[in-house]
Amino acid sequence: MGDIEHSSLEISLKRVDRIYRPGEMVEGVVVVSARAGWAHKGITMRVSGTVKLQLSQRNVGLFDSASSSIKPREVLRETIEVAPAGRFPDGVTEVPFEFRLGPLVGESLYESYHGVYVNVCYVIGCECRRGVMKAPLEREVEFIVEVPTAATPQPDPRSFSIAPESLDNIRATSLSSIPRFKISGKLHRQNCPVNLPLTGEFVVEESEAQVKSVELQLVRAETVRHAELANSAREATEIQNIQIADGDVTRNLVVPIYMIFPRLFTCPSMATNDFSVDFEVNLIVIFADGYMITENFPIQLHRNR
Amino acid sequence: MADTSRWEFRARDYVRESAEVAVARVGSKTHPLAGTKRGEETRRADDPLMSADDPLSVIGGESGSGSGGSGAHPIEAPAVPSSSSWGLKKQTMVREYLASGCAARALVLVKEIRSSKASSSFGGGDDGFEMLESSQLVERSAARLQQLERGGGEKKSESESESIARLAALHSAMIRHWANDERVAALKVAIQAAKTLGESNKVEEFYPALFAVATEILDNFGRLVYARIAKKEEVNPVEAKETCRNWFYKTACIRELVPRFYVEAAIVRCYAFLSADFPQVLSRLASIARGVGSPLRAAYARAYLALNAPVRGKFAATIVHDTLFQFRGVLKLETPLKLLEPALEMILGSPADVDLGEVLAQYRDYCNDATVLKHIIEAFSHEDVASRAAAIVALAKRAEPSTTSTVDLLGRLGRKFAGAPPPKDQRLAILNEVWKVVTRCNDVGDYVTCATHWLDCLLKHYSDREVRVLLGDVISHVQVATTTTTPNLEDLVQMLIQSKQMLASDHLLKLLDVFRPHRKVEIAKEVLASSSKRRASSSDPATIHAMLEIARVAHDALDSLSPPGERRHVASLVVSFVESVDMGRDLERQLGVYVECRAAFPNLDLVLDRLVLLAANLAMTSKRVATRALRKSADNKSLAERAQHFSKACLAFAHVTIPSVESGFRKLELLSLCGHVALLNNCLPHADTFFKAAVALVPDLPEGDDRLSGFVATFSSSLVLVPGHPDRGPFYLVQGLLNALPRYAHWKTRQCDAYIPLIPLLGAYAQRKLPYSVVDANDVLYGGAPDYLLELKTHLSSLVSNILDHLASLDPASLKRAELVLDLINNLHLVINLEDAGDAKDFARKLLALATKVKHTFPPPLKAYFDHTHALLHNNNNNNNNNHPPQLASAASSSSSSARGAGSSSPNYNK
Repeated sequence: MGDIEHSSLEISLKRVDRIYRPGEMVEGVVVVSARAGWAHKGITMRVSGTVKLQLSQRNVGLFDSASSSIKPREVLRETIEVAPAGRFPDGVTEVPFEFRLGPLVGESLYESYHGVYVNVCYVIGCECRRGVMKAPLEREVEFIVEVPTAATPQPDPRSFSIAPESLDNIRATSLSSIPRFKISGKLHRQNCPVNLPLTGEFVVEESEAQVKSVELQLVRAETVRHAELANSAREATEIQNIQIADGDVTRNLVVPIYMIFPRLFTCPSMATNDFSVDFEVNLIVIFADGYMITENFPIQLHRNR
Repeated sequence: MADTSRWEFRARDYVRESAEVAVARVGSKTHPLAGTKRGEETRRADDPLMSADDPLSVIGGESGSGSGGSGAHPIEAPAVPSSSSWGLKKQTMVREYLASGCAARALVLVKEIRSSKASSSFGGGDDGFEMLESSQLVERSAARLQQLERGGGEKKSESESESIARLAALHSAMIRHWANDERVAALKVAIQAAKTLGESNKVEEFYPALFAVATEILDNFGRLVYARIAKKEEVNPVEAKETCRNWFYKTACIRELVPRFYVEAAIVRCYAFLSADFPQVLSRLASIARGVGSPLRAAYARAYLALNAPVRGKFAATIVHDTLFQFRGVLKLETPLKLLEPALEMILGSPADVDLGEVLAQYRDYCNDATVLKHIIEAFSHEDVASRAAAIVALAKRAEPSTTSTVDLLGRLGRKFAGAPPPKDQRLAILNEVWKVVTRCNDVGDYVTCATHWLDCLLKHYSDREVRVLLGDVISHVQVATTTTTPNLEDLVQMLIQSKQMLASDHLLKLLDVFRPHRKVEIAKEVLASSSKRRASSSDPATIHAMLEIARVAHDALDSLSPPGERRHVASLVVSFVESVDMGRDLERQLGVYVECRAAFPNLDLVLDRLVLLAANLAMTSKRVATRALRKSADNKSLAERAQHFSKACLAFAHVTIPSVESGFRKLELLSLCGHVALLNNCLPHADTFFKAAVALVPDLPEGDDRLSGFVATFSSSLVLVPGHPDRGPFYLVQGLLNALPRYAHWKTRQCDAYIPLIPLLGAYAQRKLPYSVVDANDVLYGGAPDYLLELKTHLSSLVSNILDHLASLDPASLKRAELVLDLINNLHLVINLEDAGDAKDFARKLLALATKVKHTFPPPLKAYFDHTHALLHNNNNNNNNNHPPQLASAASSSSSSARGAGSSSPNYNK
């Protein structure tokens, strides 16, 4: 007898990181660990990709709760017969499989993404039926789809300059009571590749008040449009906030803006009829006296080919 | 009274005899003084001091294996710090910037850790920073750790000890987490540690120490991460890459700037696994540090990067620039500059990739501070600094003095220039520029330090004229300030003396005159001592002259009231100077120096003594040189002749010097030694003079008859070599000695000991061939002539009767007498045919009877001696064999007084 305690099924993809792009071959093996060997009625593999949208409770009326969940959209469905009916001997058997990654007709593949209201998820499911007397063996595994952006956009750098006059929410009369400051700088690009850091620089040219901290806030906005309700819901979430200057920043010293996009929470910006995912960056300057100013930069994330 | 006229001298075969009495020699494999390492190690195990009860060894053991108390786990011992210099630096930083007494705490800690291991485990025991906290601190740190784990928010302000304790707790927590495979927790702890470096409520004075301790944790963390990924890479490179990337993603999302920077810097080496472009990564990190507002913190952050950077590159320029740029902020915040210095030093550390010109431009624009410039100068190579000499001097003059004064700065510049001089055409201008400032300095200490460095530079790269001018300036400065002590002046004097071109001895002496008399002597002594420590031999006449002057200063300060210890000290210093004189092959000059020295140090016995020895040595050296030359070509006769003349000069020198030596016995020894040297150099009249002088000295010797009798024993060996005088006969020296000995006023008990050794001497004279010789001696000159033998017998007779007289005067029951009697018999047996003439035999038996009377009181060794002697006499009776080898009874005896004699010992000549 083998050492296997329970018969099981595993799906092992050839790529360690399990990242694939549309049009690529997904290759792997189904690993069958059979205890004492048994006959089966074939292994079936199901590959599916779905977009699940949800409306926030806040945006949907209390009485509409039934429709807060929108029917998932299927963008990928594939069924593969991995092995015909037969028998597995005692021990471990590996059954290879492969399929080409492509969307359903009329659909397109989106980047894998796990947000709050938007979820794009790709799953490989596998089932081995073993007749009436035995429970079928099942296994599900997620793989990640990265969709390169069609065309690489121009970097589109942006310069900025913050001074009391440039603030939106200040009345002209109280302007004189605000301590003088001038902060200038630039973002090297507003169209950022998602796998590269956000870069730029800023300079505190002058500031009467002491600076306490300068922070970079990455905000993600998910928008879900509901055709039937003619209703769209937008939800902004802070997904990262890192400090780029600590203490009273040396005047006229160019300080870099540098932030790596967190892998799990970012994806290329997406815009479809049903939903969109957008990102923006806030440069927040906090003064020692507690005042805070914010400069907002919408950014477009893309994935390079 | 014995009639010795019928006694016959025994013919001796010295070679065979010495072979017979020689101790058997066995080759040895070990040297008695060679290390006994293996033995020690095995002993160590049994050594009670080395057992586990030793608190110190317990600490060592514990830090190796982690704490047994908190769940024994194998801890990956953190590797030693990559650069040991940084390890050292770290320790000094902790020591210097931690106000409280750490040593006392460490002791308490030792006890505490042993009794209660509960609080925390101490893993990384290599740098001993765990030693910093005390017992209650350890407990407190544990409490604080709990508080932290509960998320115990903001701390108002911590005392330094609390901070250190907290960091120690973090360190052990980090290692514990890592060992338990809780990597994320370990990372969190590392972040906590790094956070302490960013907290703004810390006392600034304490920051360098905090930095040292916190980075210790980070270093360890970095090593652990690196080791882990490296291990993974061996198995699966793809996975290792992924792990590595993950670490950096985790680091990148640390919210606060300072911990993010430090943690990434701690694991920056791991970028190697991602085959990242190091210069780019380091540049980025360097510029990220700009976000740190506090110049002090920013500087330390950069220092950490500089320490951890696996390669140098463009970033080095960035951190230097940024530090200089932020420098004004340091002044504005009134942070003590002292705190910044360690960081500054590390940042400027090895500026291989930094252009000095750029740095200077930045310095000029942003800093203009003497301390900063000092560190810049120190960091760059001599050549770099020298190539921009003019600019740097201008900057230095303008620099705002802070913890470093302008003069100090200029002094350091001088030191740099000593390593590599400024361009030729600028040298004089630079010196003028510098000295304009320095000469106005009122602080003599600073002035002298600066002048010392520049003197070094001037001696190496400038002409004598500048040196002289500089010394003149120094003298005028120092003379003004004679009231204050000038501790650094010695260095300057030293340097002057060390320098090859010791030209200005007048300046040097003037400098010495600046000191108060007492101080002057002290300095002279220090100079002598340091040059004797260097053990360098000097051949330069100017140097020797200067040293002689200095030594004279030390010598002249001695007077009759000086304590003997002081005299000895000065004497030994002067002696080492005298010995250091080495003119190489110019022996005459060497002798000249000795003559000068004799004139200069008449009060020091030891020096005179040594001069005599050195002169004797010189004579021998000259002989050696001549012999070598003769061996090369036989017609170098004139050279040999010159050598002999020179030897005579040396001997003459010795001859006039010896009488000045105070101790009589020492004089005796020196005379005898010089006599040998004279014989070896074939200077018979000189040898005669020396030996005669030695004999003539005997009556005037001070107390110490044991020394005298010892000397006579040795001297009699020497006399074998001395040929008789053409006019005064073959035995005039022996005769002289026999005359002189009774006139010695301080005889106590050792008179016989002085006479008995002469018996073998007479025996040797009677041989057809002497046991050893250097020149043609009595055996050749008089070889067995009847008159000669007759005279010899007369001498023997008077000698023996002398001895008998003295024996008679001794207490018949004393052991001493019995011993002397035995000595006498044995010596007579050596030289006289006791078998032949009944007279001699009877005489010997009678003598033996004297000893037999008190035989019962003999201690065992003497008893054995007696038995041997007895056997000797009776053996001879039974066996009438002329050629019977004489047995040396004394060889079996423990009393060695008689074993020395012409027959059994030969002087050790330097042939």
